[in-house]
Amino acid sequence: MKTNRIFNFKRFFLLLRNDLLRNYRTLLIAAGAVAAIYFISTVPAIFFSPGSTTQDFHIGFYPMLLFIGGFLLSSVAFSEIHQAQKNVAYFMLPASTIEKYVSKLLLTSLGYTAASVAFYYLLSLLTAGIAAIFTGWSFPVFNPFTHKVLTSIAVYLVTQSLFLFGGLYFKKHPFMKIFGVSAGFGNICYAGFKNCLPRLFPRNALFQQLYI
Amino acid sequence: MIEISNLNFAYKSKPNLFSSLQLKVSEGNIYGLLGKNGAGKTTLLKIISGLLFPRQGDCTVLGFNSSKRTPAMLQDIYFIPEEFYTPPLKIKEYVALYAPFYPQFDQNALEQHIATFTLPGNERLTSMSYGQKKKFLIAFGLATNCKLLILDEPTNGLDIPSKSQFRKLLAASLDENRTIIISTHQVRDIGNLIDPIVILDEGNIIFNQSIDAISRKLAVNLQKDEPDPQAVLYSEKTLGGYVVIEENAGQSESNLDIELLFNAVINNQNRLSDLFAREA
Repeated sequence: MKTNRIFNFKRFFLLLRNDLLRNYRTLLIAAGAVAAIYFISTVPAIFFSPGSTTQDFHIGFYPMLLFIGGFLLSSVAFSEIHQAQKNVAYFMLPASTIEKYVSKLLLTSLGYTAASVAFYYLLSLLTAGIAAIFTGWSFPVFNPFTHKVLTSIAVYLVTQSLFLFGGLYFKKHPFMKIFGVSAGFGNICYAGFKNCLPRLFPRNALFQQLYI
Repeated sequence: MIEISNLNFAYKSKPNLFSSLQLKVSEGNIYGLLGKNGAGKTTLLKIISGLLFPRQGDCTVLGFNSSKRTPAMLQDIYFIPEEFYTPPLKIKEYVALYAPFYPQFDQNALEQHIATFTLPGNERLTSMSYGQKKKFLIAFGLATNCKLLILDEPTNGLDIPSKSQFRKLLAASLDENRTIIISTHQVRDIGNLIDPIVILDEGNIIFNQSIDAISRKLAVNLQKDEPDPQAVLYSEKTLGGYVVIEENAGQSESNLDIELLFNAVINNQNRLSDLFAREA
């Protein structure tokens, strides 16, 4: 009974559906923009330098879509709680705080990853079709199961929660602020390690592996 | 339905707005929450809704601590703030997305309310006027069949026919399990609707009486000459004389102008408190 008060699957799926349907227009516009950039990057190559594109292209392009798009989406997922009128509607919606948080987390992590893989796969399939029809060239279709893509997805799933959580904290320009804070923190850590590591662990036979 | 006890509240870096606030709200009434600008009406409504948290004290709504904002409480509260957000959805889409969160939602009632308010059925909410949006939210809120309906300045932006429709709808929607709280400055719009009347001033509830008690205790009269301030509770100059509020000695009931009552309470709080305390 207590669990039902905190987490109820029916309410949770209603929330998921709400989050998706309320934002689908924005997501469609973003998908259109990504598709445009993708086609600008691939279609000229089909006609002017057939055969030049390899799977490496996808390994370079897809992570950009995954990380930039996913981080942007995650950082604005909670934007409504910072807006005076929207936050009343959001907070008064009959669902628990955990349901509301998990819904956003699921959509921006697994949901976005699955949707971006499927979307990018379809884009590459479409490009492959165009290439086959117009030039007879076999354009490589995106393979999401390569080690590099899977590693990117794993890194995204771990790091995106930083942007989701940062979006809760920062009211304005959350993406830039989280990016700045992360970069600053990363640089401090790097500088700290770079200075401290040789003192703590001298570069000798015992700790040599740390420096590889 | 609502029980507030010893509630303290302050906004960040500001002095206490509420200190040891006490209030009990019972079922089956339309409460009129009145007060000057900055008296704390909207803040109080937000505390009741769980949108603001008290520093000390309790606010229990339908048996739940309002600060916890549990889904069981939220599905029985519908709050329409003065400034509200409507998503870029058509009415049907909005209903499909939000109605399932309210277990008692009545689709037929919504359709009736929409027809009463003559709202366009196929337009996006964002392309409707402020008044139309507000009417839709009122219609939706009534259709949720929530036990507690909280309306902050509900008649702002409504045209004259809509105000009358609003009064009829609200009166028809009230039952013994439901409570409606209306915070407003437009007391003439809801004059015959609200009972009891709660007046908030500088963070304190300075008046909380039923219309029946007010009618029994106070009388409103017109007189040509300026009254002696000690003999009456409040007076205002009007066309052809003075309208005065005085103690109802004859037990006859008179129609009370709420605006006049409000001014009387604000200007002569102590004498009115004494008068009502005598009966209590």
